[in-house]
Amino acid sequence: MMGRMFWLFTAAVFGLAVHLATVLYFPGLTFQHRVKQLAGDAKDNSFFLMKPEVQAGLMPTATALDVVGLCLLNVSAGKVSLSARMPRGQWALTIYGASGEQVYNINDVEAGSGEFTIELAPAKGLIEQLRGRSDKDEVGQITNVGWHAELSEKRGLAVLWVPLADPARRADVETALSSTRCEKKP
Amino acid sequence: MKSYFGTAMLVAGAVAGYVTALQALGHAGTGPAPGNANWTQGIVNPKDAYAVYALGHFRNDGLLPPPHATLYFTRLADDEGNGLRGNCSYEVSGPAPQARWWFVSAGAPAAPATAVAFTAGNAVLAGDDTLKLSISRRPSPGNWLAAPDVGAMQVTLVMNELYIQSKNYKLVLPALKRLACE
Repeated sequence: MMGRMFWLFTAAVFGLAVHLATVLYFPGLTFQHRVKQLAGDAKDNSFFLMKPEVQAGLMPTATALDVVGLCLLNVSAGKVSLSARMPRGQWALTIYGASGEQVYNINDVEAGSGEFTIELAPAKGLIEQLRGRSDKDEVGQITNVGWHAELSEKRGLAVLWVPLADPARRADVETALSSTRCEKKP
Repeated sequence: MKSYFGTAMLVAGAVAGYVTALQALGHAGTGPAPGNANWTQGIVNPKDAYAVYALGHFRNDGLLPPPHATLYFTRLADDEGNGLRGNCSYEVSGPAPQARWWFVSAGAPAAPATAVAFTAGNAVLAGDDTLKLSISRRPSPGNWLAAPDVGAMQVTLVMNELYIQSKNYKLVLPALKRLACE
């Protein structure tokens, strides 16, 4: 009897472990596979425009008529800055963490300007927060970089989205977005 | 006998854990739209303790979750409960979406990249600020979305940045009626 109870308990714990592993691990694998498919050979911390015919396959709230740009963020080696000069009209920048959670969002109304820079940094760990340790460039100086966001994980995704009311604007919008820079800060 | 029992229990535990995880991922992140259960809303509430399931739902399909400022609705059936088909014509009607940007798209279920879209930029609204949109293979006067060449069809409504965000505001989603089938 005790032997059977032991196996029942062990099976329940094993089942729970499989459940959590499936929920926490598999979606990330599938998503990373999709991003690799769509991003091709794009490197970390570089900005590129998505092909219109595939962008809704990653971002279901966009259509093939929109212009969508991506930057595969990697802050493991330090801060990353994203600088953009947006065209006139509606746009939104959304930053996702590696787990898919929305970390930051800004749009044309909130930005008030078509030109902006956002600095992305890895979030400080609990020990760093307790010790109150600052980064080198934060000691004794204030750098005007625009906005600042922290990623709780080393990787993430920045998505620039511009809906087009007039398809004739596509070339102008794509040209404007092509000057977007996403790069590791020196 | 005892070793078989232990092995069988472990296998059963693993299968149960895997199946419940897939079911949870399949259902999380979606629910009936407020005020119109014919539409299904895809949503991630970051304050939800089980948000990891909702995030997993979208990521498991290789999709980014809807941004917080965007409302994302889908449906697979018309108002009568009949499954949507690409060879039928439909009318979407209701109040014009009160959002800065919106679109209605139609495509194969779970394949958003293949969908064709009708956006706010193309819409002609009636004087009483209502929207009527035909989804059909044959061209139709007024707002028209060419139905894709698919069997089963999914219709999606996306609204970005709602104009009205007061507590008393009630979102009214459009009706979708089947007109005819070829």
